[in-house]
This record gives sequence, C-alpha cells and structure tokens, in this order.
Amino acid sequence: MDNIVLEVKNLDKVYGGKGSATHALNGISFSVKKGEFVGIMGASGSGKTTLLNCVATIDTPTSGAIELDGQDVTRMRQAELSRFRRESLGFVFQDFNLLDTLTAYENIALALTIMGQRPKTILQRVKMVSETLGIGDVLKKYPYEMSGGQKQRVACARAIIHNPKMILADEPTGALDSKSARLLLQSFERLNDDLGATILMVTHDAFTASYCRRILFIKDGKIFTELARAEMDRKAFFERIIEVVSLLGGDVSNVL
Amino acid sequence: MFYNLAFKNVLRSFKDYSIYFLTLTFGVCIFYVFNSMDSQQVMLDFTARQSTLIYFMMEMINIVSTFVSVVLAGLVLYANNFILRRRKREFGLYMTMGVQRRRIALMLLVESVVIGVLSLAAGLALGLLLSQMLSVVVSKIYHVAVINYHFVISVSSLCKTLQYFAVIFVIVAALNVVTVSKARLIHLLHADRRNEGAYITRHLWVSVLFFLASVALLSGAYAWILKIKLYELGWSLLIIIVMGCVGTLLFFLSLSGFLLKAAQMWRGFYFKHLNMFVLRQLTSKLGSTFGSMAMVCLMLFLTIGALGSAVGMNEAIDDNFNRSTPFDMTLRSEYDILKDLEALGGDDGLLQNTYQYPVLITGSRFDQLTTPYARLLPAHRSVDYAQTGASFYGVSIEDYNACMRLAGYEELELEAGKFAAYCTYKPMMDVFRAAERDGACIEVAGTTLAAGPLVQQSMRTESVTGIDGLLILPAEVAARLKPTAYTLVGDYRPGIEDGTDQVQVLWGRLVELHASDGQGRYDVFYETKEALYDSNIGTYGTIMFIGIYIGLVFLIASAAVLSIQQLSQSSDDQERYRLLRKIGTDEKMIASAQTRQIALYFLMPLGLAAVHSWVGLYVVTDTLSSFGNFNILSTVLYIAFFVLVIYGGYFLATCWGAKHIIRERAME
Repeated sequence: MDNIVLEVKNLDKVYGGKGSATHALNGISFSVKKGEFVGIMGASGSGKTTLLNCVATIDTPTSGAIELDGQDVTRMRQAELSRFRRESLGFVFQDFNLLDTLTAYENIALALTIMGQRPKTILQRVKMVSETLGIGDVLKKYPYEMSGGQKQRVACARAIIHNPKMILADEPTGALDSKSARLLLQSFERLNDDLGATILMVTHDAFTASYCRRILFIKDGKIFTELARAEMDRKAFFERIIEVVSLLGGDVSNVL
Repeated sequence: MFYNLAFKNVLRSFKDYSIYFLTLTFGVCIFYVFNSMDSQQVMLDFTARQSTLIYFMMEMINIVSTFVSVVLAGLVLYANNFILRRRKREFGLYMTMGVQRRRIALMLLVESVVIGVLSLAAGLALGLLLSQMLSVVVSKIYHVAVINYHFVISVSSLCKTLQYFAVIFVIVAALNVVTVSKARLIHLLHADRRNEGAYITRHLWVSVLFFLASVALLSGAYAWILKIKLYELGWSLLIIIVMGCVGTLLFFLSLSGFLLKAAQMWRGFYFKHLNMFVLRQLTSKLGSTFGSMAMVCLMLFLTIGALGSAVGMNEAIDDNFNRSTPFDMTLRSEYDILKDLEALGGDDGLLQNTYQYPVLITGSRFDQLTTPYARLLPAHRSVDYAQTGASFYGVSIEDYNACMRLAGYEELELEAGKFAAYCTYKPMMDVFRAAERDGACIEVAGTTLAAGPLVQQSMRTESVTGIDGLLILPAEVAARLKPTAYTLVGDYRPGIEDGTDQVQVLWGRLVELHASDGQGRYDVFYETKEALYDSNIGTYGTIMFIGIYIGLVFLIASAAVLSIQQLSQSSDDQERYRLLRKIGTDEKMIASAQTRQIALYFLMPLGLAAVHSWVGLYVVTDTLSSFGNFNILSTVLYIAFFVLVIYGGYFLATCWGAKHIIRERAME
C-alpha cells in the first residue's frame, strides 16, 4: 500500500470541557491515494473545516492518527510541524491569503524562500508553474491589481511550487465568480491529471465538488457516505452529488 | 459593572497602552525634574550671587517647559489615536449591542483617567528619585558641596506638572469623546478590513532622481556649513537648515523605492528566507510614513545636537576654566601696582604668592604673522588686523615662568631665537600652529624671531574668551620693550572667604589713588576666580540644562513616534504573519523577520541623524574650541548612553509589544 499518501484513523476532535463537550469530529477514518483528487463535502458545522485543519496540522485532534506519507503528524512537535507544512503541504484558501505587499512572483516564490531554495531554482520553478496555470503575464502585479481568479491561481501556484505531497484547498472557489471558479477548477484538474498532484478539497458547493474524482460526505463529525466519479461524466456526477446533498440535508431536517 | 469594564479594559489593553504609558511616564518625569531644579538641595546651598543665575535659568526652563508641554501633548494625542484605532471594532461591537455612544465615551474617559493617573503617579515617583540624582550632577557641575543632604520634594514643580498634564488629559479625553460620538457604526465594524491598494509603487527613475536630489542637497548643506564658520552664517544658516530639511525628506521619500530596487538587484539576498517580506513590509510602510520618518530623523539630530552641545560645552568650559584661572585674582593697571599698594599701605592681608609683571607692546603687527594664513581667519578679522594695525602684546619668558612656578605648573623652555604664544581664539590658534610648523618669523624690537610653541596655560586669571595672541618673548628681547601695563597675580591668604568683595574694595582704592592725577581715564581692572566661575556657569550651565532638557524630550518623542508606528504596523501585520505560519514558516524566521523590521525602522532615521550630527558636532566643536578643548569622545559617549537607554528602551518595548500582537491571533 505504498501509494497511500494520507491515512486518517479514528480521528476525534472535542471542543469544550466537561459537560458541554462538542464532538466536531467523531471517529473519522479514510485514506487518500497518490494522485487522487478528493473532495470533502458537508453542511456548515459538519466538521469538514476542522478535519482539514487537522490534516493541515494547523489544529490538533483530540485522539486518532493522521499519517501523511507514513509520518504521524499528530506526534510532531511545533518546529517539525512548520517544517512539515512548508515541505509536504500546499495550501489554497478561500480568501486567497496572498501578501498584499508582495508581487505575484514574490508571493509564489515565498513558499520556496522559506525552504531556503536558491534564487536560480526559484526563478525556474516560478516560471514553469506560472505557465501551467496561465498566470505568466501577472507575475509583476500586486494582488490589488489582479482579478479574484488570478489571485486564486497565484495562490495555487504558491501551493504547488514546492511539489508538495498533497494540496489542501479550503473552499477555493468560495470568493470567485462562476467563470473564475471554472477556470480554477480546470487548473486543479490539469494539476491532478498532468502533474499527478494529490488534492484534498473542502467545499459545500456541488458544482465545485463535481470536479473531484471521489467525494467524502461528512455529517456530525462522521463520514456519511462516499461517492466515486469512476467513469461518469461530470454532469452525471454533479447530479449524483446533488442527490446525496439533498439526502444529507433532508435527513437532518426531516427524519430527526 | 460599567466601571468594571473600563478598568478591565485598561488591564486587557495593557500591551496597547504600554507605549502610551511609558511615554507619559517619561514625559511627566522629565517635566518634574527640570521644573524642580530650583528647589534642589544643592541649589539651596548656593550663594546669593549664584542665586540670580539660578533665577535666570529657571526663567529659561519655564519658557522651554511650555514648548515641551506642547510637544508632549502632541505625542500623547498621537499615542491615544493609535489606541483608538486598535479598538474601533470593540466600540463597534458595543454599539451593535445597543450601548449608547455616551456610555462608550464615558467608559473611554474613565480609561483615560485611570491610565493618566497611573502614569502621572509613576512619572512623579520616577521624577522624585531622578531629581535627587540631579542634585549630585548639579553639585558636580557647579562644584558645590552638598551640605546636610535630605530628600527634597518640590511642591511648586509638583503642582506645575499636575497642572500641565491635567490640561493635556482634558484635551485627550475631549477628543476621544468627540471621536466616539462622531464615529459611524459601519466604519467601526469594518475598521479591521485591510485596505489593499494603498501601496504606491514609484518608478525606479523617480526614486533615483529624488535620491540624487537629496544627496545633492544634503552634501551641499554639509559643505556649506563646514566651509563657513557658524558665527558668520546669519541668513545663510536658514537656507542651510531648509536645504537639510528638504534633503532629509527627499531621502526618506526616495529610500523606499531605492532600497527595494537595490536589494532586488542582489537576488541571492533578496530571495533568502523572509528578506523579501521584511523589505517589502518596510518599504510599503515607508511609502506612507516618510514624512514622520524625516521628522523623527530631524528630532534625533536635534537631540544629539542639543545633548552634544550641552555636554561638550560643559567640558570645554571646565577645561578652559582650569587653564585660564591659575590664580585667585588678577589686577591690571597702567601703573606699577606694587608701588601703588605700598602707597596705600598694603593690601590688608588679602594676598599672598603675588607676582607682578609688565605687559609689553611688541610693535609687531598681527598681519605680519597672519597675512600668509588669511584662509584660517574669518574674512572680517583679516581686514581688522590690516586696517587697525594692531600689534601683539608681549611678556618675558622669565615672567611667564615665574607665574608658572608660583601656580605650580610646568615651566616653559623656549629655544633661542623663538617666541611662544598664548591664545584662546580658535582661528588665531590655528595661525600660530601653522606658523610654528612653517617656521614663520616676525620681527620684534629689531630681532627676528621664529614662531615657537603655543602654550596652553594662561599666566593670569582672566576671562575665558578673546585672547587674540600674547607673545612670550626671550628675556633679552623683552628687555628692549616698553611696558604698557602691569599685571599683578596672586592668591588669597588662607581664611579669606569673601575674596571677590575684598578685591573689589582694593580696586576701588587703586582707582581713587589715581583719580586726582588729572590724566583722564584711568585703566585698571580686576578678575577673580569665583566671579569668573559664576558667570561661566551661570551662562553655560543654563545652556547645558536647557540642552539636556530639550534633547531628552525630543529623544522620547522620536522614539515614541517610531514605536507607535511599528505597533500599529504589527496589528496590521497580524494577518500576514498568520499566513506565514500557515504555509509553514519557522517561528524563528518569523521572530527574526519582525525584529529586523523594527530594528531597521528604528535605525534608518538614527543613521541619517548620526550623519547629520557628525557634521553638526564637527561645526559645534570647531566653534566651541575657541572656548577650550572639546573632548569629542566623551561627548559621543554621553550621547550614546542617553540614546542607548531611551531609544533602545523604546526599541525593546516595541519588539516585546509587537511580538505579543502577532501572537494574539497566531492560529485560528
């Protein structure tokens, strides 16, 4: 099983103390293979963001294990975690999170400079990645001079420039118009198909999720169901997602 | 409940309030210390004559204090503004919950009062302690022994400090109330939003142009002030100051673009770790704060200038004083004083160790010596020497050495065929030194004498300034010259307390003795060590204290402004550092990036101010050296000490505060 990148085992996350404990994650287990494009869906409060934060090593689970490339990240210390994040993970956030004082080029390069890469390597990598993502012409611009879609693709470039083991995306289309969202998702597909990047994306939007190869649905901190795209075309997959989502949502309001 | 909230807010916002508190405390402390000077123990031990000088000094301190209070008020308002800005969202939240503006304003008022009272108390406590230390400093400067020391509290200064700061607090409180009542809820709630797009990116050539202009202006101003002497400047001084100010402003205006471009050329440096981030942070901040940066730089220059001149002046005067007062008193008359004293029946047991020598007219004109060295003299002096045909006074080497023996100084050995010189006027000293180096000669009473050494020690007690040149001549040459006057030097007999008064009486009797001579005006004068001392200290002591006062206030003001700017920058930076942490930047790298950012921010104005001051102090040294030896090293050490303690203290406090600010929202 050496092509498994992420292995989440029995993950628990409890907020609050005695009496008023809230289980954000309730014994979640799943795994992601190398080169997979996996989506995590769920309603607000389902625990999907908590899950992503735990995998991102930004938050620590109460119990359970998260093995990324064979390493248990829950047992790492602060300094190791920083190192792990900058070397093995790439982040794409809903609100882009670009540094407004830096140009696009510098924002992308940042992921490499903090790893101590040489300027020459940086130049080559930035050039390559920005061409793949079609942002070669905005490299000299500042974030405020770019459109939302461009910003998000720059953020994407920053996330993949150091060849991370996995890209974590948190509602990456949340702040984009539909055209930009589609462009971005196509970029994700290309990264996944052409470069073999492993992507774990959290979203509540069915359209966005339809670009994934496999989707985990989360409810009340547990995996509710799992949906694989397999040979379906995107439209069919989208309809299946909608079905599950309505079931997921309907379940909560009607049955209980 | 409501007051509880206000008190808790002060505690909770302590990090925000720390710089505000520190600045107020320092301000109150300095204000109290300088205004309490007249009540200090050492001042009470002064004589009546010295008291008038103290009175004059206190008048000056009063005037300066008004000015200082305006500066401090501005500073307090600035700091207060920073706190308000930080807490806009909090106020917005109160308003959404339906708290009336009036209540919020009142709460803010309570907070202001709490912090005001605390800092007043702390400042006064510190001031009380420091003012006791001031007594020690004053007694050292004024060479007055402190008799039966006890702890002094200056009630008048206390009241004055309370009064002035009460006014400042009232203004602050009033402005706070106005701000809160005018604020719009939507703006308060959205105060946290970053305003992207505020960073003006200038073209490189504009930066280069500005940078070159600033370098040209500054070097022009430097060259000008170095070339012309300070006391001859007049209007051109104003032009130089304007040039300096504009140059400084352009320097900081262009620095952001210039610095960035320069660093970007050096790719290995720019793309290393967080260097790029630090530089961008710094330059984007500079892009909007270059004005205050230039002001801080000029304030620091003023600080260093004021402190430097104050300390240097004191040293110069002290040094000079020792060299120009070998005896307790000097009498000078057209007549033979010893004979006159005999005629008067002695000096009433006033003097001992007396020695009288004739002052000779050499007949050698000043311009005989100065003509080849005209460039060393101010233009008007050269003209004066040529037109008036003034000639040097002279004394015999034997008389000089007799005085040295009597005063317990080393005797002078004069080579045959040479003359020595005594002089306190700086340009003329340069002329004498150059003449000795070149072996220049003058003719005295038919003998050609080569220029010899410039002696440091005066042979009589005399006023500090303005001895253009006294020639010390070989005995055989001196013997051929005619005396123009007689000088009697001497010390008081042991046990004489009111020497100056007695010398004055003696002088009166000498004047009377020749009043009936019918030869017109009778020229006789006296100097005593104490009288000279008092007038020196009265003038220069005042200048010194005012210098230190202003220097300290400006130092605090500039450090506080930088500190507040960096702290507010840190609150804006929270998001940025959060992102850096998320993408896995080392904590160490982040800490060092922030420290470097603050350090550079503090160092940049200090750097340019140091260059300004180097030139400034050079000019001041040059001017002061006509008063005496100005020890540049010890002056620099004094300044470095003040700057290190206050500026460095603010720097550390800022680093501490900034670290806490970005840690607040480290991870969410």
